[in-house]
Amino acid sequence: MSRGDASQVNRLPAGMLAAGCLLLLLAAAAMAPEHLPDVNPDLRYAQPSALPPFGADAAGRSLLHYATQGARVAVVPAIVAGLVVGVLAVIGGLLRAMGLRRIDGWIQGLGEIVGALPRMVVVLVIALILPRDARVLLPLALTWALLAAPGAMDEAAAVAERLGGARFVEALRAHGYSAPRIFLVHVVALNLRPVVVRQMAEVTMQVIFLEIALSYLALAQDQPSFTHPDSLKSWADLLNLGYTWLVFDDVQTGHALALGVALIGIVSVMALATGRAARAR
Amino acid sequence: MSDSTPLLALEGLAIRAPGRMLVEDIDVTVLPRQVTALVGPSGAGKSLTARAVMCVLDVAPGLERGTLRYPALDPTRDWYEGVRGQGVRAQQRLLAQTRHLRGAWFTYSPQAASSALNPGRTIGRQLEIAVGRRDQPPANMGAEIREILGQVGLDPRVSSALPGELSGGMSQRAALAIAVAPKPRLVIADEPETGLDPVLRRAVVELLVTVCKDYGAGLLLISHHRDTVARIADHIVQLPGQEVEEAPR
Amino acid sequence: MSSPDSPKGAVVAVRGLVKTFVQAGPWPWSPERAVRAVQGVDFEVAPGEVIALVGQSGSGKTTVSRIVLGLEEPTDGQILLDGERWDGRTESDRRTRRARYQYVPQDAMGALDPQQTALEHVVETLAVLGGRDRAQAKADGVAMLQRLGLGERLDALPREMSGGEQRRVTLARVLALDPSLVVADEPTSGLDPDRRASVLEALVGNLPEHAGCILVTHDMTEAREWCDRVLVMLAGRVIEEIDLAESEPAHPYARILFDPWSGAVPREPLATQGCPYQPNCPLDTARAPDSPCGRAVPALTAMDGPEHRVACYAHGSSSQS
Repeated sequence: MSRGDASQVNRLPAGMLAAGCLLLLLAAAAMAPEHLPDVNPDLRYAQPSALPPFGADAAGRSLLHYATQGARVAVVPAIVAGLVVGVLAVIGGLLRAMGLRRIDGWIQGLGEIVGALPRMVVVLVIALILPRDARVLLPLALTWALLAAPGAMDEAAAVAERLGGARFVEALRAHGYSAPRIFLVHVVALNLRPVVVRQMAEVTMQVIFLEIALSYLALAQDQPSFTHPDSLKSWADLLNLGYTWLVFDDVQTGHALALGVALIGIVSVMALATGRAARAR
Repeated sequence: MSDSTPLLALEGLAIRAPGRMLVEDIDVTVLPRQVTALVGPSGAGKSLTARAVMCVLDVAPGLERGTLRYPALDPTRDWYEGVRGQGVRAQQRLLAQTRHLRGAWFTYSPQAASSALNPGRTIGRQLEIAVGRRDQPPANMGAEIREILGQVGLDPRVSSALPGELSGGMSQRAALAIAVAPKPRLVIADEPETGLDPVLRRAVVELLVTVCKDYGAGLLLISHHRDTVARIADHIVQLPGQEVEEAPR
Repeated sequence: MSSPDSPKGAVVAVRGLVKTFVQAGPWPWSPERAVRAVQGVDFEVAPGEVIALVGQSGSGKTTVSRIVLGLEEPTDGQILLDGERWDGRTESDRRTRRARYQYVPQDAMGALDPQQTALEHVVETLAVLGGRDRAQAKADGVAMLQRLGLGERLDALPREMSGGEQRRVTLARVLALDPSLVVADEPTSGLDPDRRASVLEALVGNLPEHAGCILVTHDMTEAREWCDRVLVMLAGRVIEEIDLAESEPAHPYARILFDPWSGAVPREPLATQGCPYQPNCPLDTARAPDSPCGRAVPALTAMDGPEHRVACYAHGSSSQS
């Protein structure tokens, strides 16, 4: 089997796995109800057989609703943040490849300032400034993305530089290739792809963990989640319980933990699979 | 110390890599004010031999046989003692033991001038560091640097330039200046003519030879240009080493 | 858009080529410096001819080769490819024709995509520029690479190839298009003598029959062995045009370029007025007190036959007008 065929075979399962996870998460997000249904004491802790697929919590609400809401709240902003970083990284790489020194220089300078800001602190400040009803993850995720962008753009620019920069572009231009082919196919699709996808996956994961970190803020507001008041239990609580959660005497805790871990697991698998499918030869 | 005491006496060098011998039965002698040329096809082991001469053995299992002496430095010591057949650790120890010699007693000018020059430092500063390795540093560093630059045909203003600002020929000459600045006893030049046009090639080679003779140093030159070797070499070592030709001029 | 006086059939005709670069001064207020890289060059390449452009760095040979292909615009002069004006055209205009006029850059690795195998490079060329469909492109690509001795390396990435192999992949890509002109900028630089021969053989041996080739090199043995004619450049001008099979170099600089050990090494900087080589010239004509060499630049004039032209007062040149 030639190298070309072998790497195709390797990428396909990873790519399909990544796409599958993404579809699952997006479908869950789409299915999420705007608000949780009313309390139904008859169905308290109902089994999955009574209320598919996951059963009910202490208030008789289907755990599926929590799962889909969690997906919508956390995953969609995370993916949007990833896309923002991806687009900016591609721009950074293209500017370097095109040899547009001046613009490149300005953006690098701006990037150095932005990159020096402590990300978590900036996000927390913005989180606290946001008016109550605007407290969703999306603006925070976008802020995170913009703060992470300079680093990603730098890395993409370095890859473009290693390609040969202007000399590479000139040689292909002399050969007769059009500018779209040189920049979109060779620079972006073939060479920037691995680093850009990796950056996107990284930021997506970081935003998921940002949601977890923000739940500690929620303690101050006396609600389970900072960004969304209907969650089962805050991450801060879950992680604060010390040894007691091992005993699982609180079923609610067990549910919350299971759903939380599942969410992180699916996003992680998606990130890893995407990285693998898009990796360099 | 007379001009007849060799600076370098290498005998029977044999270096092994997994599965094959890289070089075998190589003898190299370099006398003061004389040029020994190392010639042979690519892959024959010229650079490997040059590094072995400097006690830089970076292959595993590595040195199998051979004796290395610098008679002008230490008449009796065989530097390969305890390293033959002893593997990578012993070779690394030898590397550490001889560190003080490299850049001072002998200097190495690699094939690409760009690897000899530190891209972040000006030429003047790099020369200053090189001159600082002499036994007796000069009284006036600035004047000394200007003189060295003059000897290799570079304008004194080059002193404040970074390597990236120099043309190919100029950086080759700058690398040469750095190789001779410490007033070494032995200069090892690995294909210094690479990438130069014929006239510049001759100029650089002649310069190497002249400077070596002026300083009383010996020159080990790796080159694949037959006309150069025919013109300037006092001794020729031909690789691969089944038949070592020592052809005195 | 063909010029009425272009020679019939010449693949490349260069007329009065001048290129001046403007270099900014060290400080923002310093005046700019004009660097006269090319100061009036004329030559032609006939179909099937391989010519060498030789000279030291700074002689202008690389600049000329780049202008011929339109990678730089000339300050003055004309470039005619297959009888049609090439300079002054827009890039989109040129792009459709570029498949016929190909460039082999000095840095082979820098022209290859690190994420494509050797075969993928050639297949893309044939599919996008050569008008073949995928299957045909693949078949022709394999054949081309095999012809250049890369049959075992079809699936190798650039980083897995040796310097010589990388060069041959760029050659394969260029030759697969059946070009009328190939301009190769020092295609063997950095290679050992044995590898050099194989790369040049791959290039010259596989040129289409009616293609012209301009080889920029400073290896004189290469020029002698592979080229029909040699153009020696110095300080932006052609100072000798010679067919080495017929004659020996006459210009003192050309002589020393071909046999560096034959005379004294030129140490003086080139003159800015008159013949640039005068400060280093060993000939009596240059040393004479009322020598014409210092006054005006000698013109390229035929010596012992129209094929051999020299710009040297000692060999019968008159002043350039």
